[in-house]
Amino acid sequence: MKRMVRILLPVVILAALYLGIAPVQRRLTSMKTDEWLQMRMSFLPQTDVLKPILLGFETTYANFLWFKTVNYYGTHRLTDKSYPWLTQMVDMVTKLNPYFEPAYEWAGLFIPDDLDDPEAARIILNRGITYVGDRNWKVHLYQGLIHFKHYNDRKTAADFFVMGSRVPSEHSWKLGRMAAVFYAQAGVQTNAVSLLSFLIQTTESPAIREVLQERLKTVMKQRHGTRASSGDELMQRFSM
Amino acid sequence: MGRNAVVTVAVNTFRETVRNKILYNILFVALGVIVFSVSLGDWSVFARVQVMQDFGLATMSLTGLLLSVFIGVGMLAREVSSKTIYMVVTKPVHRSSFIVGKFLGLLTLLLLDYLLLSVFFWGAIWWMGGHAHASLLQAILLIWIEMAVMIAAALFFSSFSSGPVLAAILTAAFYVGGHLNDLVSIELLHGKQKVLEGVLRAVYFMLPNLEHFNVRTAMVYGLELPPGYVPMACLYGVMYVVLLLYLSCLVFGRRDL
Repeated sequence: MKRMVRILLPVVILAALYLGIAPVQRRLTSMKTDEWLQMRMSFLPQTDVLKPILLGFETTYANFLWFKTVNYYGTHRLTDKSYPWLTQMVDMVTKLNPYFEPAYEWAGLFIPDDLDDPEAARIILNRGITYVGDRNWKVHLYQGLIHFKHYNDRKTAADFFVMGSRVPSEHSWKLGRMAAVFYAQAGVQTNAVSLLSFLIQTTESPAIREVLQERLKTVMKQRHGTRASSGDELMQRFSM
Repeated sequence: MGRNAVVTVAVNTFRETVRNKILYNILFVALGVIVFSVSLGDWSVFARVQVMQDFGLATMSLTGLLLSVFIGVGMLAREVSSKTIYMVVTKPVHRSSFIVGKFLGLLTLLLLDYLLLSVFFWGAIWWMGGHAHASLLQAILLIWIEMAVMIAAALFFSSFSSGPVLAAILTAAFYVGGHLNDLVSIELLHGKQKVLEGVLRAVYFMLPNLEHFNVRTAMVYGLELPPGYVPMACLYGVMYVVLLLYLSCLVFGRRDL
């Protein structure tokens, strides 16, 4: 009997402790209201102060902060659809690790529309263009879209698409074509013609060349009121 | 300094450290973190492999730091406090051979530790379907060199400290200072505050700039290092190791045991 008690007692005590701990833990989690999170976030030091304290582990901390950002976005997306700290979190992640490309995509995708803060996204994406702009065409695309959608500036948007089209990728020509369309719509036909001609000359795909030549004809028609019969004729008319 | 004596001390240090429970605890935790970092990669939703690689390299760096502080500091202090050092110094073994042997023993152990962690690290990258490019080896090499500097620093601080606690605090401060040294902007103060400029310049040249060994972010994100950077950083580390070991030999050679 004593032996049974000696074996069972620790098991019972452990089970009782766990049964006590689990609801307390759940209660603590439920007590973390938005105000609590807000208070905690407001104590986050500025990146300039934080960076030296991290002793070379800023990229690792940026990864932790990124997990929190994804979690924060997901939780609020499913509940109140309000994200007061998202901009600061993405900003901190990109300051601590400016090479973390997914954060720029988030900045471009969610901050301008979900948070209605295109200016913050523009600043973060500028950082992205500085650090990863030579290998990630999307940062240029998002920056261009912000200028188009929120600032109604097609010329600047087209400038960013041109920059994006220079990044080697299978989508370069699409960005180039978009830029040409935007230049044409902004009334800058010369840029549109130059860009389309360049893309026609450099593309290796006959199908893409055909699409681009069609687009070039349309732009030329807008510019001169006449439509050239072929792409070759256009190239002859406007030697680039 | 007898070569045989150095090798004998190094082999003994290696054997002694291999039996140390702290080593296995730290190693076990490091392996756990590397395996766990596969899940961390998944948490990030995007750039999974890069996040995992960064955590793996950070784990290696922290493991090396913990080993060099806990084992490096205790190595010399334990020999002195348990008086086993008398068995060595009464034989025809120079004290500097003892210091260098201790250093080489722990450095070899750390090399094996990193080889083991690297196998797990590469395995985890492969498991996640990532491409483990060889440039990650450069990051691991520089972490190892940084830890060589830390072991040499731990031996130096143990060579004059009365107990392991003080030596551990000084070694930790050396690590913090070494990483903060990168931020000392002496040029900003040029001609403005002479005294502060002088103090900062002294601190800057007294402590190594340990950030020179930190190429983790660059390697994980495939950034190019300046040509010849890695050999130059290795040379920098070796020079600091030689300096610290020389100082340790000088101080320990005159220490009244």
